[in-house]
Amino acid sequence: MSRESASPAVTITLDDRELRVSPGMTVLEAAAQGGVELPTLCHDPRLEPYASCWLCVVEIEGRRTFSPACSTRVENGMRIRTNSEGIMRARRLALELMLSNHYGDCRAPCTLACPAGIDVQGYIGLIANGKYAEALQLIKENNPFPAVIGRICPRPCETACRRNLVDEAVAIDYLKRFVADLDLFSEDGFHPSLKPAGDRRVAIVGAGPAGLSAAYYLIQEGVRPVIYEAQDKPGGMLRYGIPDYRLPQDVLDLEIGRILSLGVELRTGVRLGEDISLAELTQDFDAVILTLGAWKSRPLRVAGEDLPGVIGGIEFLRSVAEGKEVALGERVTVIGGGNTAIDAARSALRVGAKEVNLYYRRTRNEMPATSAEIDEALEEGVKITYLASPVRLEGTEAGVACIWLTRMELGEPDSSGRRRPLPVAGSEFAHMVNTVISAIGQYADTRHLAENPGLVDERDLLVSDPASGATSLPGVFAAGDLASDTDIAIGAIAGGKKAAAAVMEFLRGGTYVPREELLVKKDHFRELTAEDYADRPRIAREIMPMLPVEERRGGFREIEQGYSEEQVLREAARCMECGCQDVHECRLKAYAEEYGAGLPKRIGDYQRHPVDDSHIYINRDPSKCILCGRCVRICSELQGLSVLGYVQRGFASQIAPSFAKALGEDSLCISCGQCVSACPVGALTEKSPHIKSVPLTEESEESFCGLCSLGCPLEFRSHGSLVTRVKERYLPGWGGKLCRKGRFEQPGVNQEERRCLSLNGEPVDSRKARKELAALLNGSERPVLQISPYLAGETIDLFLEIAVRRGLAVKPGRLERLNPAWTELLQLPRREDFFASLPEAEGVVLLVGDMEEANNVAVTDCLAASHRGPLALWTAGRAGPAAARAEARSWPVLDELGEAIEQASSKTGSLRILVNPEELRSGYGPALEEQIAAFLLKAARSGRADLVLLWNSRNAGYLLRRLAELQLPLCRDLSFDLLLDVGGEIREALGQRRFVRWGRKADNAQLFIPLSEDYWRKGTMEPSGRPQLKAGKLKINRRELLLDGF
Amino acid sequence: MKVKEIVVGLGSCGIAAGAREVLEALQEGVRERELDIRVSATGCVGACHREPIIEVRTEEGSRRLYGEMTVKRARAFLDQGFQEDGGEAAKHRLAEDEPFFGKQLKLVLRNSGRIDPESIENYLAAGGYAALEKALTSMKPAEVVAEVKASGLRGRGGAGFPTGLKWSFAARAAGAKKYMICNADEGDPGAFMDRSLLEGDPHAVLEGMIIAAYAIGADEGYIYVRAEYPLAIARLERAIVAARERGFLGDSILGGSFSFQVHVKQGAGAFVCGEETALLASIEGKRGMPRLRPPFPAEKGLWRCPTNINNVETLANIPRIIVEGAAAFASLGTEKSKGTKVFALAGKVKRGGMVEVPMGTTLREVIFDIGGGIQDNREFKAVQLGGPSGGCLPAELLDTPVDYDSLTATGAIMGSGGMIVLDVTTCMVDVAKFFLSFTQSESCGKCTFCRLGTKRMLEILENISNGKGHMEDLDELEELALTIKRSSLCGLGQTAPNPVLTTLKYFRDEYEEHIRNHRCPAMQCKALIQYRIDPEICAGCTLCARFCPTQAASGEAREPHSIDPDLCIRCGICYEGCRFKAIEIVTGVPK
Repeated sequence: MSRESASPAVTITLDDRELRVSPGMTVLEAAAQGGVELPTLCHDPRLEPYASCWLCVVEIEGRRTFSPACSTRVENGMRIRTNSEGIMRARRLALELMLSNHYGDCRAPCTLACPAGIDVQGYIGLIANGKYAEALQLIKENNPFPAVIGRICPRPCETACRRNLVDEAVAIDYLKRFVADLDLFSEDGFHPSLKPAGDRRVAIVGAGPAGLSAAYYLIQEGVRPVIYEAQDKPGGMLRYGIPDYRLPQDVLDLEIGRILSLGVELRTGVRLGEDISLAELTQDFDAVILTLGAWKSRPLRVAGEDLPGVIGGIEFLRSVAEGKEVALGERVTVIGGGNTAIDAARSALRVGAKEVNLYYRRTRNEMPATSAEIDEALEEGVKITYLASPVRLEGTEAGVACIWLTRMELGEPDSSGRRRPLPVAGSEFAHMVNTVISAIGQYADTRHLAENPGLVDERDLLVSDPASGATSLPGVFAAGDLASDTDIAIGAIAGGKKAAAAVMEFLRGGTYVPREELLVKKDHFRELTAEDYADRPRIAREIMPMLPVEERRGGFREIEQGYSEEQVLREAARCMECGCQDVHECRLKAYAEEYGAGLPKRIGDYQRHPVDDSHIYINRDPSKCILCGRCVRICSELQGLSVLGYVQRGFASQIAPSFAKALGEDSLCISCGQCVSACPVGALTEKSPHIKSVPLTEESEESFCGLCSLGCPLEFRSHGSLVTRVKERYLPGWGGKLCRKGRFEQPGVNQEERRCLSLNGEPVDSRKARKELAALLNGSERPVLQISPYLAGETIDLFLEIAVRRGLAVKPGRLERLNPAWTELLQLPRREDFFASLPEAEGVVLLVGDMEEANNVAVTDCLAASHRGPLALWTAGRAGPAAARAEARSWPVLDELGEAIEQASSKTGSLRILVNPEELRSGYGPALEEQIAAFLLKAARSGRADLVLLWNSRNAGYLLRRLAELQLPLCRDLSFDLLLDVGGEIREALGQRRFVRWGRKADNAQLFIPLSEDYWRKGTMEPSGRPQLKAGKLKINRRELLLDGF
Repeated sequence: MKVKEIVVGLGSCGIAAGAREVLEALQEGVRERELDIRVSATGCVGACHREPIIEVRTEEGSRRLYGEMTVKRARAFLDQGFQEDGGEAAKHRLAEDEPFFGKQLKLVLRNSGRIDPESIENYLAAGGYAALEKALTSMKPAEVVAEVKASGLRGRGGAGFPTGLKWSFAARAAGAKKYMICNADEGDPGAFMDRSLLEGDPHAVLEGMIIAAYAIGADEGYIYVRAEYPLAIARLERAIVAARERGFLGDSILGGSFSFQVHVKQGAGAFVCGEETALLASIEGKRGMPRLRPPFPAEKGLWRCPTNINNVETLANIPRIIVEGAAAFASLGTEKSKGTKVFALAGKVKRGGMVEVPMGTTLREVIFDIGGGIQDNREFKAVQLGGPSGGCLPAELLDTPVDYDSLTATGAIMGSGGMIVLDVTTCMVDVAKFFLSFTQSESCGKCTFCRLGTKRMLEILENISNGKGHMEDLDELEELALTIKRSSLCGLGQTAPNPVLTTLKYFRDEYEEHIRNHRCPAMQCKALIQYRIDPEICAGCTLCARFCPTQAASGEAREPHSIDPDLCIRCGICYEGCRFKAIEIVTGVPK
């Protein structure tokens, strides 16, 4: 590791550039120094060079084959080419080969089915974890109308849901509605952050879902949108095409209000072509988005269509929505099979029709209306006749009186793939009617657009680019039904967002090209069937509470009442997490996109293995494994364990735990999670026993682990307030490892926010808390301050300062019971480079007492070093399972420690002893502790051994040494009447004594004052055997600190 | 003629053919008849096509070889006293002047089939361990290296790297501990040179190895031999014990200061373990997976110590070089390929077996003069050289001399000496598929291209032989092949596409026939052929119908039969069985 160059540099030529680099560097490292990041999947800076993935290949002059840069060392005069066409092709081919055997789903089918591309799996997972605000925010990245869409969407996501292969789809839409309503009816709902407003203005024609969505995303980019709306109110089809019993107007008003409140300007009652022209708009604005909608009903094309009493479905619904009186008469016939037809039929019942007949020319299977809507219509009394089509209408000037229909039968499939309905000869029949509502489709009125040449085609349809909504006029875009024939509302919303993005690109002077994501799908290999999910438990879908049928007729009250929170949590837990947990970090996906690698045209054989979910913290999906070998190597090289290995040969090669065991059953595995951190794809992923694992974009917070005195560098990954994972950090020469506790068992993670509490558990404000504290102190004879060694060094200092100021006796956590010899040992000069020097270390390391649970990384570091080189690992006392794997000498009885030291120091000049006083005391008792402490003190003083003291908490050594330096009185017994406990995780038998706690858990404290995670995670820390480091600035505002004045 | 000794060839090939029973019958027969004849065993004689073989040695000093020996024949020979005139014996005599032996030059194989491999006395009598004695007593290690360098000997394992140069690297490498390894992990399908040598003359290999260890300064060594060579292992272990007893091996060899310990390490039979770095990993107890070189084993080998690895045949050449000198060795062969080379001649050739010829002998001489041409006098189509890493050469290249550089120039390689002769009944797509499926399933799985690329190539070949190929497939094959060659860590991946590339190069028309016309000219690809009965010839004997396992062949007795192509599984039983030759195979016929 230490190849810092005292030795002379070598000169290489990297893509025609001369570069001076250190000898011993790999070509990969040298290229990075020269600013060329070579792709690699198998390389890991923590490991020996390996070369398996062949992505980092380069051409080296004079060599016949490509060279893997990760394991080729630089030589003087080496001429390297990193980007020739041959190299790029080879990399692409390597990626394509890996993709051809990478069986999985990058993204869940629900997410892919959503026209707006909402991260369905992501928000369902957040909901399952109770993170409703984060879920809402994630939805709003692609959909500003979650409360609306949560009510009315035909739900292509649920159709695609894999749960359909088990029982029933997850109720995705209802879950969305829950978080949307929660936000919508709260005082402080979600508002997106807006970039500062510039002077660019965009006109949007139409305040329907497409127009409002475009405005919502444009204003976030700092563009000022102005919406022109022909109707009196905004909402478009959402308002005028969907009846209130499905979408109450107040919900729509609130949701539109959220968009307008961002600063979107709305001008209603302005009609394009009459009140304002497109030419004016293009002149006055930087860009125009047309979202006129499709407001015309398609004609039936039968005789008698012009009779009074024959009306269009959309016109009818609009009149109802506007509250106009519509005289339908008693007998109403609806023609059509879409949601508009069903809505019209159900609305007709609600405005007074006695009998509503709906005729559809195909069967229910072909009916475009949502199945639930059809069921509800039938429940309410709508009569539906399939395979019937009108042939003529008869009546008088007073109105239509009779409708003639013919029976139909289904013939060959037509261009839409549905079977074509054909009339059955001689099957005509008649029906008496008062009103006929024709709802067989809608179209956009493009009369006013036709003035602009090229904008509209010969069939009067607007011509626009489906990818961007761009029309033939520069700066004029289209979205919604106008651009996409007629589509569902979420399609219009997606179109609006896309048009906004296209406008932004247009304003920057470019052309919008949607980002192509490379997506591996299981269905690409083979379509999944119910058999694939035969082992999944069946869990019933939560039932939506509905308005009783008898209460629906005659009114427009909302039918679906919404889930309760309990229902929501249960329903969200049904999600099977189909999309890859690693989708946001997968290196294979990223490189495939970068190098333009595609999925193979012809799928050959592929490896498909069952998912191994036997381990509590690790999910193993061998079907996604690309055999880079990082997990295998990290387990053996860094941990010294070799839990994972290669099995089989050729195409059948795979990586598996030893002896074909499940990972969770392999006793060698110590759950360090290093393999997960090494895996560049989703074959090994973290799983948390406490939260539902869900792939989310993450933010990272750098810190150090506080769970033992090694203080491994780590980062907390989170999405919003959800801490998703803890990952190791690699600092040159140090770190890159975590143990089970550090990675998977960090306390305090995802805990509820806390407030100050008084004795009876009542929340109090901080002023009152301070008062109570002062009163307790004043009434106390002998108060004691107990300080937790898990706290950050700065936090410890802060409280020690108070102890000094007040002359308080201090209890150092549980450490006060330790033999005083350890404090003396702490004050001897220490070597700080022990762990950094391990890879090249010689001689003997002697572990005294079992430290595997307490200081796991130290033990596995020594174990791995002993496997690599001339370092011998010896143990005195009970060795844990990892240490027992070293080819070591052991003295199982600790009384023989003297002999061990004797032998070790006589064998080699270099003897290092690792000891954890806390473990020693708890494992062997105070008598042996005293004896050994004295013994070690002697050995250390005589210089026969270097001693490294390890502790069970981050700053135990620091706290003990500071106490000695400050000469504060120590409290070693229970002779106090008030315990002031800081950060304590320790519960003592306190009897009648009073108890105040600053910390994370209130427990039975008289007064509880919360300390934020910062007080543990940030600030100084003093790792054992490593240089002191600062984990980041502790945000302690002393003025605000509750201790102020105390 | 007075028979003094009868020697039975007890190589694995002979034993498989029944030589052990012949040996026992001869021993018993001699005892019963109270004859004064010694009966003993030797290794492989080389003429595998005539096993079991015995050699009869007379008091007068003549030696005669007899093949196709059986227990019955052996007894009869004893009774007849090996009378040749018109008797059984004459028919089975392998005349020494037969072209099979006559065109060969047996130097490496000088003792194989001559001496008893289990007797160190035999080896010593044949001049064994003289080289070791010479090296240890009169040469410095550097002089040994120089001698081997001067001989021009190149590694017989396949790559042909100059042996002396390799030794000099290991000799120069810094380190107190060095290892000398004999690579006996012979894995090419159809190759048995190393096995025969170890079975026939284990001491020669051992002697070469000890000399090499002395030259590079190694005090410990391993012979890495596959566990499926039990006879070779048994004879090696016996040889090691005998050599140690005689002071040729172990502590202070020949009373001097040089010590060398040898272990036999049995490999589990993974082909890739023949690759040096994978072999080292395997000895260390790890999975046999290659790693990138450099560092070369000479620098960091076994347990990170400097290590020299040589192939069996390479080492067997050493004693002669030391005894006779580099010049004598270099006088044989071509400019850049010195000495002789042992081949395992197999396939559709009349006389197959272990063949040793001077470098530079042409393929034609080996196949037609030594091998006697093609079985059943069919037409020669190709010769496959170098095993799965090698290639197929057509008739036009029969005059290519066997030396490293000439063979590499054709796209094939010398390899370890596998030579498989193919005739017109062999489909070249099928041959490519066979070798590729071998390398694919033997890939260690480490490198992306070798693990997955060869699999995709194999799938393309399968499509072609199933009549589902496209002309674009040939480009895809070539792109995959060339990229795999350039992007693999070890020789396995770097050479795995060779059988495909050479067949594409020399037999492209055959691939195109499969793709364009759905024809397999060799009538081998089952999806592309049909069996048909000529009604003019068929006598209605019903034999085919009775043989047919799927009832595809049917008909009334004494009426012409027919074969239903949908039921037919192309097993060929009817074709083989028809007494009237009424069944023909056709290809390119749409179903």
